[in-house]
Amino acid sequence: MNDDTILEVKDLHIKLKSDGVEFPIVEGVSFELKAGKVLALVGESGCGKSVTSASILRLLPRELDITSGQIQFRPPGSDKVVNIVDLPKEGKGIRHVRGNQIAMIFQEPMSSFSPLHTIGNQVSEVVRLHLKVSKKEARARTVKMLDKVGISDPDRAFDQYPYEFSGGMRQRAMIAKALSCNPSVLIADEPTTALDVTIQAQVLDLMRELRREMGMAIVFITHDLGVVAQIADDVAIMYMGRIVEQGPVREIFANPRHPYTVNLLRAVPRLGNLRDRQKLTPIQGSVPSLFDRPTGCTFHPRCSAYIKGTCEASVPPMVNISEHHSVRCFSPEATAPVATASEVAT
Amino acid sequence: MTSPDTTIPTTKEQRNKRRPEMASQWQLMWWKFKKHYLAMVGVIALSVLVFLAVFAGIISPDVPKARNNAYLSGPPMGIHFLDAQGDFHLRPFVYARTTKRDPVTLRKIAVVDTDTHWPIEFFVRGGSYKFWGLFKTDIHLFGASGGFIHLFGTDSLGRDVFARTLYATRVSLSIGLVGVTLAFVIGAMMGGIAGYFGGVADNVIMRLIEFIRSIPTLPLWLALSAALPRDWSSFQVYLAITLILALVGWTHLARTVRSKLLALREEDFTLAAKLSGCSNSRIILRHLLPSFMSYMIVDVTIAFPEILLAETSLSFLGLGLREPVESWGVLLFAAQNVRTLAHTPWLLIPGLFVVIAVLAFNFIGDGARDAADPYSK
Repeated sequence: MNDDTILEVKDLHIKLKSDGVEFPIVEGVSFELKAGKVLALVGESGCGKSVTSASILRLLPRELDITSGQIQFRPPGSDKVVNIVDLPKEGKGIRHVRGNQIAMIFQEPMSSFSPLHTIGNQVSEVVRLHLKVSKKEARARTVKMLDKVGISDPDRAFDQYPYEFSGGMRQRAMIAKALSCNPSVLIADEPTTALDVTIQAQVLDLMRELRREMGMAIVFITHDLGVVAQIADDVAIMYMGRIVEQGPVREIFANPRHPYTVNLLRAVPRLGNLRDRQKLTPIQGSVPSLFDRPTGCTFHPRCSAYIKGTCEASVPPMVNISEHHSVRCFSPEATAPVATASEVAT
Repeated sequence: MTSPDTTIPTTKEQRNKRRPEMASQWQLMWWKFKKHYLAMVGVIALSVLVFLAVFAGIISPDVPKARNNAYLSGPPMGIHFLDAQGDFHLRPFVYARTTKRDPVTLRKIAVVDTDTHWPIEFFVRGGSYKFWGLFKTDIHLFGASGGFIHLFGTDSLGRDVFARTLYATRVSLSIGLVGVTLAFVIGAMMGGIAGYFGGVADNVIMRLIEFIRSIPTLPLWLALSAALPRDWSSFQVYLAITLILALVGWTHLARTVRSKLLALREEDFTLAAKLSGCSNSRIILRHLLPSFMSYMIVDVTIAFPEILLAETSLSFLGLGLREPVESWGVLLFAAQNVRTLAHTPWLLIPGLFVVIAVLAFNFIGDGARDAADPYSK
C-alpha cells in the first residue's frame, strides 16, 4: 500500500448464495483510493457497484458473502493498516470504522431518516456514539454541521422532524450526519439519483466544497457520466462484477478504450446532438441475467469488437495502456499503448 | 454559507416556544382516547381500584387478620342516615349487633338491634399496621364507635371481608403489573431478536412460541405451580407465581414485536443507523421499538386482564397464592362450596372486584387501540 493510499480493494470476490448454489456478483475488483481524491464507480444497474461499496463497510445482506480478497484501510493518523474483510461482521472493530472513519450516504434521502426522531437527534447520534462529548456539545457540533451543509436556520432544523424537510434538505442532513465525525473516506452511493437536477447540482457543489474543506476521499457510485465528469478525479467502469476500464477521468473521457466505455459515452445525451436531430446510440442487447453469466469476457455478446474464439474462452487480463489508465479487453485496438506527446511529435 | 453570528438558544423553553402549533403523538392519542366513553369509565374504575389498593391500610376499618368473634359469618352491615323511627341523623351510623343462639340449629347468629346505634367516626384508632411499610400507625379512616363495622360482612373466622378485599386488590393488581412488565420485557426481547436477526433465531423463537401456545394453559399453570416447594414463604410463592404467569404470557407480545421489526429492519433508516456505527441492541431499542411503542402499550393493556384472571383462577384452585396472603383468588377460594354460597353469599364480593378490574382493562385496551391507530375515526 502506498503512503498516500487510504483505501485499497484487492481482488475482491463476492458471491450470492441461493439454495446452495453460488453466483458470482463481484469478481476480482481492485482499486485504490488516494487521500482526498474522488473515485467514481460507474456502471449499469446490477453491475455490482453498490455491492462493492456496501462490502467496504461490511453491510452486505445475509445472502451475499465476501469469498476472497482484501479491503485494506489505513485509519487517519496511524500507520497500521486494517483489513476490513478480517473484522467480524458485527463486532466493535467494524462499528468503530462505520460512521467514524468511513461514512456512507445513499440513494434514498426520503427514507434514510426515522420518522419518529428529530433530524438533530439522528444527525447528532454519530457524534454521541463515536466522540465522547456531552449532549450540549453534540448539539452545538451538529448545528454547526447542519449550517455547513447549507441548511438555513440550523438551530431550528435540529428540532424538526424529517417530514418537515424536502428531499434536498434531507440529503444535506444525511451528508451532515456522514461528515460530522470527520471521516477520512466517504462512500456516496448514488447520492443524487433521487433528486431533481437543480438540487443535484447543488448537492454536488456542496460535496466538492466539503471535500476541499475537510479533505476526505470519496468513493462516488453512480450511473450518470455527467455527474462523474463534474466531481471525480478517477473513474472505474464496471460491467457485471468486473472493472473493465480504469483511469483518470479526463483520460478516459477523451480516450475511451473498452468497447463498453466507448458505447456508454456515446449513449449520453448531449444538447448539441439533439439540435441536429441525432438519435442516441444505445448499447446493443441488455445486461445478461446474473444466473446466466456469459463465459470469458462477460461483455462479449454485446460487443462490437468481439473476436470469435477468444472473447468467450477466457477472461481478458487488465492491461496498462498508460501509467494510470488500464483496460480489460482482448481487442488490440483497445489495448494499444497511448501515444505520448513526444511520440506524436515524431 | 456559514453565518458566524448564529445564536444558539440553549434552554428547552426557548426551543419549545417555536413549535406551539405542534401536538405530540401522545397528545393526539390522549385527545382521541378521551372521546372513548367506555375507556374513560374504565380509567375511572381502575383509578378507584388503584386508590383503594394503595391506601388499603388506612381505608379499611381494621387490619385484615383481625378476628371479630362476636360476628362470625356476619352479613354486610349497611350504613344508615335514617333510623327505624324515620328520624334523620347527620352522623351516619350502623345498627348494633347482638349475638344469640338460634334455638333450632343452635348456631350463633347475629341479630340487628335497631334501638342501639353505633355512629361512624373518622380517623379512629384500630389495629396497628405499617403504612406503606414505612412507619407503624393505628389510624383508620373510619370506624364505628361503641362497636364494629363490617361493610362487606365477615367470613367464618370473623375477619372483615371489606378489609381483606382491599388488601387483596393490592396483591392482585401488583401481580398483574409485575407479571405484565415481565411479560413485556421478555416479549420485546424475544420478539426483537426474532424479528431483527431473522434466520435461525427467528425460527427457534417462533417454534418455541408455538409450542408454548399449544400447551393448554390451565394444566401448564397447574403443573408449574404444583412444582413450587410447599415450604416457600408466601413472598417467594408470590414472586414465583408472577414469573410463571409472565413466562406463559409473553408470547403474544413477542409476535407483535417480531412482525413489526421484520418490516422495519428493511427500512433505509435502519441501514443508516447501522452505518453510523450503532450496535444491534441500540438499533432495536432506540431506533425501532419506539416506532410502535403505542401498539405495544395497547397489547400490554389487553394482556393485563389475562394475567389477572390467571392469578385468580390459580389461587381459586388453591395452587396459586395461599393464606395468609390475601388476593382475590385466595378470597374466592373460601367461596368454593354450595353451603358457603347459600349461607354467606357476601364472600363472593371479591369476585365483583375481579369483574370490574377485567372489564376496566378491556375497555381501556379498546380505547387505547382506537387511539393508537392513526387511521381510525
